[in-house]
Amino acid sequence: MSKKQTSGIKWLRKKFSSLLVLLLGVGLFLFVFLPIFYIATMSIKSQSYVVSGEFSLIFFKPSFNAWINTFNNPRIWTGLSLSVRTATISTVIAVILGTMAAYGFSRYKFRGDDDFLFFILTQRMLPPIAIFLPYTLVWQYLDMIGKWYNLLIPYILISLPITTWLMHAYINNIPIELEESARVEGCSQLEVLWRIVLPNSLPGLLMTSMFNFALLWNEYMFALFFRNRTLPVEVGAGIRYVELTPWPTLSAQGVFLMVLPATFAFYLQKRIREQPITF
Amino acid sequence: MYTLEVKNLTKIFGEHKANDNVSLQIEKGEFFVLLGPSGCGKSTLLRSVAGLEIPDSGEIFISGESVMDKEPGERDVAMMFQQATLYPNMNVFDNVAFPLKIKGVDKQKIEKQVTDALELVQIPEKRNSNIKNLSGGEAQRAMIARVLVQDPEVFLLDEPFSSLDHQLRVYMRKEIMRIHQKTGVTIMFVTHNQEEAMKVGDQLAIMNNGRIEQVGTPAETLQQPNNKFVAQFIGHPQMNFIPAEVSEQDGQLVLKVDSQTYGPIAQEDLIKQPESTDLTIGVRPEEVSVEKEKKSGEDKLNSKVEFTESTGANNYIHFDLGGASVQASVPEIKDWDQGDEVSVSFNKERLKLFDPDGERIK
Ligand SMILES: Nc1ncnc2c1ncn2[C@@H]1O[C@H](COP(=O)(O)OP(=O)(O)O)[C@@H](O)[C@H]1O
Ligand SMILES: [Mg+2]
Repeated sequence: MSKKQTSGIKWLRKKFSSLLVLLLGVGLFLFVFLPIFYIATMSIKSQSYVVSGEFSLIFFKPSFNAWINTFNNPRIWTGLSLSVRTATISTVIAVILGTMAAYGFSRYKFRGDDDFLFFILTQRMLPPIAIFLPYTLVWQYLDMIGKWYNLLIPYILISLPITTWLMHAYINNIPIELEESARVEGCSQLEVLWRIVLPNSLPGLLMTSMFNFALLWNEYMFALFFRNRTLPVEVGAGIRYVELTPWPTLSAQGVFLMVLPATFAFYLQKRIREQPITF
Repeated sequence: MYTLEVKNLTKIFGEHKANDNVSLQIEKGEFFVLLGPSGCGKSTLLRSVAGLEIPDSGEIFISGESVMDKEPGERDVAMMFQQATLYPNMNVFDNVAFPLKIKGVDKQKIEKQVTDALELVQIPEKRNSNIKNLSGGEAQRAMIARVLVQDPEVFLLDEPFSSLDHQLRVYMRKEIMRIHQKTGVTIMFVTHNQEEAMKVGDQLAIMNNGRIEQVGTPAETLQQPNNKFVAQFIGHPQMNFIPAEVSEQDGQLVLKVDSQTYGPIAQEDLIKQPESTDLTIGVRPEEVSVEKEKKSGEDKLNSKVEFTESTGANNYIHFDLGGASVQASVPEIKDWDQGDEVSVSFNKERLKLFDPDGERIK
C-alpha cells in the first residue's frame, strides 16, 4: 500500500470519527432537551390547537391560557407551599443528621464500621413500596394520614443513606491534621466540627443538599399514598383517562414544577464553583 | 523545673510498642531535637505531649504541672505538622489569627500580634492572600507565624520541613534557628535526618524502636555514643564496625581481627569487663590511618584495597577487615589503587568497643 493511500484512509477515519462524535452529541442533546422543549412549547399552545390533530414544535399560534389557568389555580399554590415545606425541612434535617453520621464514620474507628456504612447505603435500595406498608399502618394508628408532616420521616429516611455516603467522601478528604491542629489551638470537638469541618466541606454540603432537595421535590408515591397534595401530586391529578386531558395546562404545571429546583441548582452550582476547596 | 518532662511514657498500638518507657527533660529555651529512623515512634511521642494520643502509661509535665488530664488546647503547647495545616477556608491573616480568636483575645490585640508574627516570618505582604496562592515556603512561614502567636511553653515541630525540597529545607531550618534565637522559645523538633539534627539541636535524643537510646549534645552523641545504634546513626560518613576478639596480655587488652593481633589498645581496667570476648570495634573513617606497603608488627593490621572513592572534598579507600568492609579517609586519592597492600592502625584513644548486645564498653 502506498503512503498516500494510508494517509488517505487515516484522514477518512478521522473525519468519520469526528462525524460520529457530532452525531452522538446531537443525539444526546435531543434526547435530553427535546422532551423539555416539547412540554415547554406545549404549555403555550391552546387546547383547541392540541386536540385539532395538527402538530408543530415551532409554528403555532401561542396562547397563554394554560399558564393563566395554572396561576389561577389555588391548588398549585398550596401544592407549591407544601412541596417547599416538606422538601426543605427534610433536606435540612437529613443533611444535618447525615453529616454527623458521616463525620463519625470518617473519624472514629469501631468494629464493623465499614460494614455498617455499607448497610446504610443498602437502605437506599429498598423499594419504597416495601417501607410504605408499615408506615401506612403506623400513620393510620396515629391518625396521621393526610397530615402534612407525615412525609418528613420517610423523606428524611430516604435521603439519609446518600447524604451519609456523599458527606463521608467529602469529610474523608479533609486531612485529619487540620482538625488536630485546631484541637491543639484550643478548639473543642464541637468547635472543630463547626469551624473547620463544616466550612471546609461546604461545597459538599451544598451539593448534597441540592441533590436531596431535587429528589424529595420530585417524590410522588409517598405523597400520593399518605394523601399529601404536593406539587407533583397536583400535577399528576390533572391526568384524565376518561375525559379530555388538558395537555397545555398540564405542561405548564410540569414546567412550573421543574423551575424551582433548577433555579436552586443553578445558584448553588455557581457557589460551589466559586469556592472549590482543595487540600 | 523543666519546661517539658516526660516520665516513663509507654504507648502501645495493638501489639506494637510505639513508645517504650520513654523519659526525657527539656529545659526552658532549649532547642531539643528528637532524632530517629522512620517509624521509631517520634510522632507518637510528640502527639502524646500535645494530647492527641493517650499514652498507656507514664506521665507528662509541662512547667512542672501534669497535663495528663488536660485537653490538647489546654496544655500550652503549639504544634506544627509535616504538611502545613493551614485552613483552606481562611486567608493568611485569619489562619494566623485563628488560635487567638479561639482563645477570645480582643480584636486590636489580634491585629497587632498577627501583624508582628507575619513580620517576624517575613511574609507581611501575604496577609490577605488566599492560602492556595502560597508557595511551599510561604505556607510553612505562615504556619510558623500561627505557631508563634500562640506564645506556648513548648513548640512541637514534627518534621515540619521534610516535604520541602532540599534548598528550601535548609533555608527554613536556618529561619527556625533565627526565630529561636530571637524569641528564646523552647522547641522540641522531630527529624529523621541526622545532619539536620546535629546542626540545629542544643540537645539531641536518639530514638530507636520506641526507646530513647541516648540524650546529649550533638558532640556527646558523636564522640561518646552509648551503643552501636547511636554510633552508626550519628556522624557522616558512617562509623566502621569490625568484628574482633579481645584477650588479655600482661594486663593490657589486645584485639584479634582475622587472626591478626592488634594492640595493646588499653589498660585492662580502663574498660568494663566484657562478658564475652566477641566484640565489635567502632572507628570512624578519619580515625583510621593507613600506610602503603605491608608492615608486620603488633600495631598494624594488613589488608588489600578493594576500591577507592572520592567526593571531591574527601577521599576514601575501602578494604576488608575481619569480614567487614572498612572505609578510611586518605589525603590523596591518586596514591591509591585497587589491590594495593595497606597496613592499618586506629586512633586508639577514640576507638570504641561494643559488646555483643551493642552496648559501648570503651
Ligand atoms: N494510630 C496508629 N495506629 C496503629 N499504629 C500506629 C498508629 N500511629 C503510629 N503507629 C505505629 O507506631 C509506630 C511509630 O509511628 P510514628 O510515631 O509515626 O513514627 P515516626 O514518627 O518516628 O516515623 C509505627 O510503627 C507506626 O506504624
Ligand atoms: Mg513521624
